[in-house]
Amino acid sequence: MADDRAGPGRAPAGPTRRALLVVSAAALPVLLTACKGIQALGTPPGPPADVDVLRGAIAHEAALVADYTAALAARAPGAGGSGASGASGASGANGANGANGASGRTPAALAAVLSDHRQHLAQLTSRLVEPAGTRSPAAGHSSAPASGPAGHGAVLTMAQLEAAEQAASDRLIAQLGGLPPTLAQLFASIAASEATHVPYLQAARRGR
Amino acid sequence: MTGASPSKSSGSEHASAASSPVIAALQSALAAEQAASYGYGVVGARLPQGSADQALATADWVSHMRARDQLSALITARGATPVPAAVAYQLPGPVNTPAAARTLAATLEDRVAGAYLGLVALPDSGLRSFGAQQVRAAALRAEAWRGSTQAFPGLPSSSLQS
Repeated sequence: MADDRAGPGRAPAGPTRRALLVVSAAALPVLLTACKGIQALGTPPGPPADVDVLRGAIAHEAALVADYTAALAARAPGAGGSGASGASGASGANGANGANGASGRTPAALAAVLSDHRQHLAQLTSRLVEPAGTRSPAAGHSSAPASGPAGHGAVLTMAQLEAAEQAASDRLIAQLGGLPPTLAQLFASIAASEATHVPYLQAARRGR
Repeated sequence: MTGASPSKSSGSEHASAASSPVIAALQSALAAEQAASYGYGVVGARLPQGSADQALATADWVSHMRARDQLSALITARGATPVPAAVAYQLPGPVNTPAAARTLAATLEDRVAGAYLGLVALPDSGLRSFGAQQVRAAALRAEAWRGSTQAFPGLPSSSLQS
């Protein structure tokens, strides 16, 4: 019986299927080496852009919470303002003090704004769904960016807090493009809230 | 942020434009601005003549009139017809004192902020940005009347996750 792999009208005889399999198996280690390990083949795609934006917003909000917590602690009875001036050169920790000074209403105003920021942080964090094992930026303060000129963790003056609020509001509005509708609405609402903190803090500073 | 010219739109295009989510959101914002414009007339009448609060009410009223005209133009540019203002509006409560007038002003701004969040939900980046700027402006005016801030201006509590 004639070999049906070599008959007329067929494709030219080449390597047999078995030979190809053997060659492929032999070449596999070489290919893997060229790819610098099998892990490189299985790299998962990065998170969607809106997840990164949300993570950034959470980090900034966490930084604001830390800033207001520090500002309130520095103005607590008995704090004496030494923590503020020692940490960042902020001199308005207690009592009226020039342009960045504080009135008697300041602690209450700071507490009210801190409450807003904690609510912002909670809502933003609730919108972030991450795979198990990944770390949320809100989980640790080390990844939170500085929200003011004095840097994260320092006690900011009232004027620096106001500037940080305005910057936060502008940043959120600038990031609206491409977000899902409900997240865009949350960003816009938080941006509006943070903008209102500016005149609110200014009024407290002036003792309104 | 521009749409089809009204003069070049067919009747069916007008009909589809009028029912689009974009037009619906713009009409909602327009209705809120019209209500605010009416409401500020009441607010101003209940504040002391010549007071700083009355001057503030006048300035805010002008802002709402301008926003109303801007929204009307956006709607017309998209081939739809702006819904006219009502002759009168139901107020949320009696407004017999300056304090009640200030409360009404803050309430009007809250509603305006909520209406503009409808624009923020649209995919059009220009309208989204415009809506966000207007939410912020309304929240700032509300803060001036209320003397306090809100964590989520314009957002109904039902949209917040517990």
